[in-house]
Amino acid sequence: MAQRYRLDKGGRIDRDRPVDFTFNGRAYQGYAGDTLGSALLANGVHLVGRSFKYHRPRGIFSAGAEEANALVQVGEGAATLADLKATQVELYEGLSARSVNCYPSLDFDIGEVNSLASKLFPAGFYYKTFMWPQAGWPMYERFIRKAAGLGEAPLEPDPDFYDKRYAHADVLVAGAGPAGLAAALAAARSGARVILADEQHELGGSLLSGRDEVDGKPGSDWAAEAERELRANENVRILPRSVVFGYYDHNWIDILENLSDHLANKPADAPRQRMWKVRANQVVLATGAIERPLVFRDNDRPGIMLASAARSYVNRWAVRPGESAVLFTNNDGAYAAALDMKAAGIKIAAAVDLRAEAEGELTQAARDAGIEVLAGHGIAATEGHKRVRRVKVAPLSADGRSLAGEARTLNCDLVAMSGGWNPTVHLHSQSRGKLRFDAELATFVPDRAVQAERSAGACNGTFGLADVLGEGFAAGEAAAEAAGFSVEKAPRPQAGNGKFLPARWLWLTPSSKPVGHGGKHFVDFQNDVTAADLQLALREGYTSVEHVKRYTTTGMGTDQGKTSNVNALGVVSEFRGVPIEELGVTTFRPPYTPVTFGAWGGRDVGDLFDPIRRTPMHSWHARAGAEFENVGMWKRPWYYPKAGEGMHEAVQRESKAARESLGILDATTLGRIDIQGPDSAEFLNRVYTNGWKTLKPGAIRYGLMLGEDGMVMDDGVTACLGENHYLMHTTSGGAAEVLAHLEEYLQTEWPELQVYLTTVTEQYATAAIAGPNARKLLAELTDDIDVDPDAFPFMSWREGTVAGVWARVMRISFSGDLSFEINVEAHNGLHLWQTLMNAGEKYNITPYGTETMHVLRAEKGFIIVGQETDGTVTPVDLGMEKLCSTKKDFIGKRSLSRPDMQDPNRKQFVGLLPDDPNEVLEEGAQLVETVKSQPPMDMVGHVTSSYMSPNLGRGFALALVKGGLHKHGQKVYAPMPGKTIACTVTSPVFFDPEGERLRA
Amino acid sequence: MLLIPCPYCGERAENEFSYGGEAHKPRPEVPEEISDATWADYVFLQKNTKGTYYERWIHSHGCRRWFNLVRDTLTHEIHGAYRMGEAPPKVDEKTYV
Amino acid sequence: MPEATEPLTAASPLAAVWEPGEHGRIGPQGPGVTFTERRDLTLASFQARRAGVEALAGAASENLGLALPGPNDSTAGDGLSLIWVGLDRWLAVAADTNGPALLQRLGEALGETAAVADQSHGEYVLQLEGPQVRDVLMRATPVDVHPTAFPVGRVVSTVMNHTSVQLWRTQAERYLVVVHRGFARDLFKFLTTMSRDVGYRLP
Repeated sequence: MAQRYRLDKGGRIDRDRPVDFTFNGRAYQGYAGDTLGSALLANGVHLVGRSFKYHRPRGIFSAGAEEANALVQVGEGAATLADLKATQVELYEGLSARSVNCYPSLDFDIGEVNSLASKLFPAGFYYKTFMWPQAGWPMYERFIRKAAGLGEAPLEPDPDFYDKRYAHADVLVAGAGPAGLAAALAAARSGARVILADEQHELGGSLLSGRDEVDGKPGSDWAAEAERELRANENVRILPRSVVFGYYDHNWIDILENLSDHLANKPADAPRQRMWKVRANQVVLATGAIERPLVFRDNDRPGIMLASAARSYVNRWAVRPGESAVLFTNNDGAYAAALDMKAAGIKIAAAVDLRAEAEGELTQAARDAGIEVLAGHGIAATEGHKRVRRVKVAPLSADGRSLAGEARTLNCDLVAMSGGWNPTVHLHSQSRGKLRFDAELATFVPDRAVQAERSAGACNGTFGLADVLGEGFAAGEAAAEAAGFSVEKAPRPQAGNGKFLPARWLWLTPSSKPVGHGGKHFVDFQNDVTAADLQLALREGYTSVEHVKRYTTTGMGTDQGKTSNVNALGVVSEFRGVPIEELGVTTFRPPYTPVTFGAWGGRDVGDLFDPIRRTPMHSWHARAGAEFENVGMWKRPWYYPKAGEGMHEAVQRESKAARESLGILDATTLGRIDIQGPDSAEFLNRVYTNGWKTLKPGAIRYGLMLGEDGMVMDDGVTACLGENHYLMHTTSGGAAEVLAHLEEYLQTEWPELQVYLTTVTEQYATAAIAGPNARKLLAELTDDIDVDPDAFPFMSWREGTVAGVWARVMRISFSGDLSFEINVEAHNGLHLWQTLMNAGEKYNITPYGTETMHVLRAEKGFIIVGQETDGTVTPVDLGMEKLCSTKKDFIGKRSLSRPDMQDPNRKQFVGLLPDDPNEVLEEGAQLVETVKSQPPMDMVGHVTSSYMSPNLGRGFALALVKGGLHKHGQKVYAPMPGKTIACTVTSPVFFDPEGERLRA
Repeated sequence: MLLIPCPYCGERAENEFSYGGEAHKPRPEVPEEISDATWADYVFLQKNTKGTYYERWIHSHGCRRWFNLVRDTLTHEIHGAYRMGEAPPKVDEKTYV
Repeated sequence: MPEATEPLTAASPLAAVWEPGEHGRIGPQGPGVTFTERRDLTLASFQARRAGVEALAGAASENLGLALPGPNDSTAGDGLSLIWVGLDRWLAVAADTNGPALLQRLGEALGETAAVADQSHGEYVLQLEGPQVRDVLMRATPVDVHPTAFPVGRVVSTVMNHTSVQLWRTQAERYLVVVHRGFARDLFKFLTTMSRDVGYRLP
């Protein structure tokens, strides 16, 4: 019968809107307003999963985020979601869910054999078993993964898209139960910008599950009124289905909002989830409390659930979670569940109460209602495989550590248990707020706040409803005031003020045998950690709470110990005879509940993962079929393959053309810094190793820039544009770092210097034409620049009109050949390039990319910072000592005279010629002088660059070799798999060593 | 993400800034005249205090100015920001073990 | 290789990705935001020389008729706006396309009080305008763009899509984003992706 366990009336469900769904392939029906959990219970389905390690049958055990058992896989294919808590999944038409961690089926699970062999799965099982041999790990891992797997990750790319938004609030309120609503009302009334977030779709929190009255009306009505007031205030943003999961420094808060997971028809072009990143001036935490289970023998059978959950199912969802219930409690508050269940027609077999004197307002009410109260009793055992069938109840000794009489059997299909309450202190703890053990509540409550936050209500250890509301209003007012708003105190609503006390704190309910010798006393349901496991960990010497937690995996599941942490501490405390407050508490870390990867990524995926910087000639390169390379954030042409060419062929062709006739390179990506001011030359003198005071307008000079540690950090040419006006070029990838470096010294060390830096990298587009025909081509395209070698010598620049537009032409060369770098305003870059390509056709002008650029400069022995250097290379190591002025100080100079820098055996820059001219060494290959039959060998250096040169007709390389400057002519060897490559150390300059072509 | 009070632009999110290490560590006037050890100390060693720390930041995506910050490196509490050359604010200094 | 069909035009760094029309989820109110390339603007940067900010402010006021804006602020005059970008540094934004003219004007007006640099080609200006523009910006920047925190005229140097930008509110529902030219295309892609939910129009 459909929804056999649905009550005839009541509940916050819409009976006019039935909802069809499937679970493990079977069709069921629930109502709008149900969770998957409440709908399953309405259909009498308790068995929903298998436990992690022992594959024991497990049922729905809670009604919220603390659920440890009812993990489900929702949806199919690419959109499937793993390990959702059935108690949080909102029901929608067509929802399809299945259990995780069961094979081949939930009803018949092979893994349950683990349960019989549980002696083989003690705490620290993995550490003990999968130790040797190490080579077996791939196999162990496969086994562990298969055995331990919970849900399944989809194999296809995520079809959904996600949103990420930043927001700012004067007051952020986490949780919209009575305290949160009160705080939001108080803060909003002051005019503050308020964000109120709650993980559920309905605001009201505990008011939706209980039967408390506020100001003489049902609590849920008061919540609805509060919501109406808040919604009418434009300064308030209400976020339902939004869990505040992360609390970081300076009140930076992460919220995950669900936008469409609960919808049957997911809207097109709308995000699935939204990550809110909120900066809040003040935070009010009103996150409530989570009920603790009790630790007793076989306390994990389906049908055993938290008392508050049973009460929620009855009141909020109009579901009978059983026909015949046993209440098992250590406190007075849980009797509310018994009373509400009884009122809903559920038979209460008995209330088993650990307290020797079972007293209190609600206990008395239960007695008055005819419920049998067994004071000083505990559940010593439970029976029933896929559903609890009966429990054995026995009186306890005075100290509660043993049974003290005959057990009595109670038939039941539901056990509602309550071990007290844990304030949800996760966010307070994440914010680095301290916790304090409250002996009366036997739990941790917030102590001192470190950030601008305050806790209110149950999460603060306050349980009477009137007190909760009062604290909420007070917190909202205080937060608004702290954010600079003036507050008028509102009268507090009237409400009852019953607390769940008195209680008796007995952490482990005894059974007929010691723990570990019959049955299992579960502490952590999700990780299958029992009291016996904790005891074993202690016996094996793990006494610190953090060690016990890691060794046993307590609190490490997707529920992050919401129900197990304090019980584990209590059990450890009893075993060790040390008070809980002396054991310490583990730290809570984000996220409070699991967050999908998609939400973290937001839209910063695919092409937006990392922005790309493009030159004005990019479209030309793309159309020419260039392969691109990332250099810094730039996309640069790497090589331009023609039909049928691979990289090797293309680079050989490009390299040859650039030497024999004419090549063209997009050099736009160089960093450019405009330097003005009367002290500019002095500044250049300090930041470069060489001297700058003699550089005249029209001239260009190469500079080497060091860090203060003496290591090469950048190089490039600087042009003197005019009196006290320079244009510095940096490497393409180093521009930002260099600018920061220069600004640092100007602003922090030498503020007296009158120097003004402006980054102008993108103002210009640059085409470098290189090769014997470069001058001829340039001459054709300009009327006002005299290109004669005497009029326009190497290392100078001229301004004029090229290809009809303003241009600054620099006669510099990174290829080693005659070369001009033509700079035009960026918008004219493509025009310049196209004009050069057309006019250069007769010279077979050949566009070349960064790879050919590397070959050409390497033939010439020019370094590339970041390739020949790696932060450990000095100018001396590079043989560039003559660039280091002895007449002035410069950044890094002092470091060059440190003893380590003077070591003649430092790795130094050399060329390498493999004996076999067809050999191309691998970049990064290690070099040795003495080859042994097997490693280890003494390494003397490594290859930094290596190419096949069509111009040299052989392979060649650049390398750093110990003492290499004095080893020219000697042999070194690169031992590679299968062969050893013999090479001769040479000068790094292979091409035109006299620089005749450069200066032609 | 820290909220950093740039002395020029006001409070901005940390992703606009870059870190610059220990503050109040001037470059030696005449590096040639100091010992290798003193120079190495200047170049390589920082106090890296666990507690109140005087450090440099640059508002790299903002005004591009370097400035100093007094920050508790354990709690990330920021006690103040001040311009280069200015005296640091009076702070009740803390160190942790 | 989709890029092989890129249009060969120098006119705009967005030429390859600008598809006129309405995109994303267009609600009954129409597109939430409209993008416009502001290639009608010319930019130059200037910073105060040692003579000091007061001398520069005097020169700006006397010769440009504009007050030098303070931190995070801008001033607007006839065809010329000044925006603060950092200590003693400003961007001049002229409502015409003549870069040399702006340089000359600034040079003459500010003389030795400022170091001026042409940015007319290096910087790109994208305009976002429409009823949902704030919604889009909330996805794009952690800067507080609430009207109380970001009034008309405010300009901040900040980071967007990992890139330095100036975000400038010139009208109630209009913001300009100034970005280095080479990043313009990916910033545009970023901002249109953030506009998918509210729908956007490319004229």
